[in-house]
Amino acid sequence: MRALTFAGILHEDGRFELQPGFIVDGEPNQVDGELEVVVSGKGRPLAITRLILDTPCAYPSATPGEPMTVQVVAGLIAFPHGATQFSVFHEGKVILEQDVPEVHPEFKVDWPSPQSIGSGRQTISWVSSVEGCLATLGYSNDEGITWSPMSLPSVNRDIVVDMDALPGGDNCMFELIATDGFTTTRLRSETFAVTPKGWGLWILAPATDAFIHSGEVVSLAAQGYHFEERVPSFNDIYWSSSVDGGLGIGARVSATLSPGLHRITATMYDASSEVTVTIGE
Amino acid sequence: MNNVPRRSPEPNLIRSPLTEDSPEYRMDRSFESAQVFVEHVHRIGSWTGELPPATSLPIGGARAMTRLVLGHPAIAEGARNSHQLRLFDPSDDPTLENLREHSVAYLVSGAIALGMTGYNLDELANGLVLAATAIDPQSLAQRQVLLRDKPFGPGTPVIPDWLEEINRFVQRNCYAGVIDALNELGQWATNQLTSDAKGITSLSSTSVCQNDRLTIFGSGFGNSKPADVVVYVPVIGGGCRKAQVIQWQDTAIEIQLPADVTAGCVGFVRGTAQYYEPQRVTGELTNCIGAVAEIWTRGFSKVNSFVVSCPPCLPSGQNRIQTAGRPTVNDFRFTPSYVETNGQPVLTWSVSNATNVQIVGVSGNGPVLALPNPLPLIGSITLAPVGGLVPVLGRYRLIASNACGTTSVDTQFTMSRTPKLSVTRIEVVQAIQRIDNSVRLTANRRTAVRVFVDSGITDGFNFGIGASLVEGIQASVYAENLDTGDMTYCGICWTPNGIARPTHNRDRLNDSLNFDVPLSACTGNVRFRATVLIPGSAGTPPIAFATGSVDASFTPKPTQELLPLLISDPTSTSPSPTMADFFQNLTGPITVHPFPENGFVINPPIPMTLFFTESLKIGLNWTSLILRISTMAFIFPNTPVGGIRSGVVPNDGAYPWGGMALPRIALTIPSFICQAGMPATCTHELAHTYGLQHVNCGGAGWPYDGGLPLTISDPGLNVVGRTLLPAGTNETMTYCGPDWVSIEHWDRIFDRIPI
Repeated sequence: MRALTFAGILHEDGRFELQPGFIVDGEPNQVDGELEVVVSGKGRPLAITRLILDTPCAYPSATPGEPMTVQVVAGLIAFPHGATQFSVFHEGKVILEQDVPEVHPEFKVDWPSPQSIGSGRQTISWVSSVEGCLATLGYSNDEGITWSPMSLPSVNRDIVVDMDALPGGDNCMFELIATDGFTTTRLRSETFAVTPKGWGLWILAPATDAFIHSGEVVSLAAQGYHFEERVPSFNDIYWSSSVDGGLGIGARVSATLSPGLHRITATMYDASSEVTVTIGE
Repeated sequence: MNNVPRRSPEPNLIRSPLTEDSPEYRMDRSFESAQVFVEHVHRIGSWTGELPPATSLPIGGARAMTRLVLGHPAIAEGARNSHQLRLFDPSDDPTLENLREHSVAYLVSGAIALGMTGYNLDELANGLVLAATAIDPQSLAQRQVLLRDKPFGPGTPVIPDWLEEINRFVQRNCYAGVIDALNELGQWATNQLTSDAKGITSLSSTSVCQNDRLTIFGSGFGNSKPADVVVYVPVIGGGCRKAQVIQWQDTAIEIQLPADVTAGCVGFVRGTAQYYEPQRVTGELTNCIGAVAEIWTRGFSKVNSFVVSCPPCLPSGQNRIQTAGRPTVNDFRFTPSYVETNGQPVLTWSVSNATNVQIVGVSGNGPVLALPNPLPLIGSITLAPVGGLVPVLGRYRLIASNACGTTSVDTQFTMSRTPKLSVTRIEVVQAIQRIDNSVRLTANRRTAVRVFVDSGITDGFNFGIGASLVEGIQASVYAENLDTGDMTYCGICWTPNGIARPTHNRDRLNDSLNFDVPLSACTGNVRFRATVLIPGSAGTPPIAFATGSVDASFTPKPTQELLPLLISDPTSTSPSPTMADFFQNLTGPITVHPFPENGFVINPPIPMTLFFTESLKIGLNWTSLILRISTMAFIFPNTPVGGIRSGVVPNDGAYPWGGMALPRIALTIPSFICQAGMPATCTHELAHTYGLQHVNCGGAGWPYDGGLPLTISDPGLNVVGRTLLPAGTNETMTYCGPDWVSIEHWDRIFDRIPI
């Protein structure tokens, strides 16, 4: 079903702040909620969707702001073809009315050349014919069967992607999904090849350049991941120190290191990763 | 005993060896004489003191020892066995060393006895060595008893490692060396000296002190000291010693008494003999046999004196020194030296050669003794019941004096309490637990065991660390898997010196003895067995001992998938978050939530950068960000990987919020964001994604979670950090710290893994 992503903030004073939505194919909310969205076409109601208001947790920091007083809504509303307007009702009152612009925006993307796009940091730039549009970038390494988001929906016109951290394949693509809030445009790049990465290994602890007191037990943690097969591995991770030699095998290993500067290496299959830690007084 | 070579015959030699089976074994006075003789030999051989050893040996004992040696089948019958005791080469076997000591004592004593009684060692040394190393049960027992080592009971069974084939044994260089050493000892002991008390009618004093001068009265001494006559006086430790002659007249001889003079008889040793210094004995025997030989022979290289027999005592006591030197304290002790509360130790004492005796308190907190006045030389008293609520250590000194000086000896007794330990409860904890262990446990998750130990003392008895407390508790815990039978040791206690108490406060970490359970043991049905004890001294059983057990069941839990979002903020000067930051935050939920080890599958991170207008220094942008994250799945419905959207943002003091979360609202994806370096906030936000809401201690936003308490009902245990949060600590879903997960919180996450 044709639907519109619907995310907004209801302020304490009754203002409702709506984020620009994306037209997607999906099922609108089926559950009852405090918010009612009525979509109309030429003055005639086309669809009604109810949405739940919730209060997000806002855990105070050391310098907390004002107490959280807003409520949020997030979901999909039915948005049939021919919709020209919607109204948002809360407690029987209209808190927002918007008309679908008659002029549809145009988007253009500056794709890097297929020859140079396969590695390194790449910047995907886009422009729109009207102000206030959002875009997000997706990446597929299986010719468009699955897509991974590369960025949040944003007004940012330059999206930077690290190709060396992406799964590889011969038929990789980008897709820019842009919207003015009602009209969504999907622009795909040509296919290009990205070098397969195979197994990757992340040292989760200790943090690189960490300082650890002598005698303290150091917790070593890592996880392997096969980028193309998309499976994790916790096995066969070998740990070693440039000072103390072998430290153990496993995803979680505890070790007591001798004083000095250590280069801690984790290896798994053909992947390895390193961090540097200092053991001192 | 054919063809036994001797220089001068001795009568009444016993032919057959005395053994444990012989009826004469325990009663034969000749054997007792031999035992005494061996003791005298040991006194000389083991001498290390400053005064030269008294080289007197009883001739009666020498004869008895000679009879034993000559009666041994190895000499009497020339019997040979196929194997001998392995006498040579180093050994770290204490039993073999013990047997070697028996052999050395037999060798040395036998050689000296044979020399003193006129036998020729040149021809008997071989037989003596074979007798001393014979391994038949009778020979072993005889040597053992000779040293009063083990007078009764079964003998030591001999094992092959202790044996050496006889031909190899006698061909060893050491064998020849030992023969030479024995010959030296025999020569040293061989002389024609005699002792007597001829002509003595009285002494100038029968009560003398060390280094005094003493005049021996009598007649026929001659006007000057004959060259072949030496005056001998009795000395402490047995035997007698040459005294320095100051003046010699026909009717009176003035001598200087040695420092170790004691009661006994004064007299003369006469005769001349060639002196053979047994110089090689110590070296040869020590080199070949080892430490036990050194103990028995080190004195021989220093004696520089003939072996003599002490002068006899005249029938009317004319030559007897009745008392000499400082008093001797024969006994001074408490029996028993340790009593429980209200016990009554008995103090006994026995002193000789004293004119005055006192017993005084030296130190400690022992009671004043009710002693008779004057104090007799020998006596005993039973102390009144020794009570109180603290240990008593009574140290006392006996001071005995006479004209020669003072001798003092200390003794002590202790009154204390033997704790009656018991294991009152064992709790198996992963983050929080009830007394009855009913909080469910995750398999393959960090787990601790708390063992509560009762001291059994309720009256306030104080060992010095507090009323009714007992320290020094040693504890061990084993995890027995009831499904497989595997037994796993849970390592050492978190604190080495455990304390037992009469009552326990679960809210205090040190009120229990705590152990880490190895991960491998945290699976299936497990019985945890705890043993606690107070060790006794080396080789003795524990002073107190108790055991306890509890059963626990570990439930396997699936993994939770996470999709890390590493979110950079261009308006923040703090570093962009990394996977290390992500994992550091994750240590929060790993510590307090029921996720197993390796319980998170972490998908490849998605790095994202905010636009300048999306700065997180503005509170509302946090809300906008979490909304965009939670609705991303609508835009990308066919993502290859998923999981809780777990955002990490820079750690920035200018940010108004530490974290923010949205649970699943209808079809949205559970999402949270959290500043780097905030594991506790990460725990709170992750719990939101599992549907837990706030508990209001003030400040936390609505809606509130009716299923969670404001504070935790039982103590929380951080198994990783080994810290405890007492019952009453704020629930994690409050905004108040410190905080910990409640049982309700734990259970709800436990039941929902994974979302």
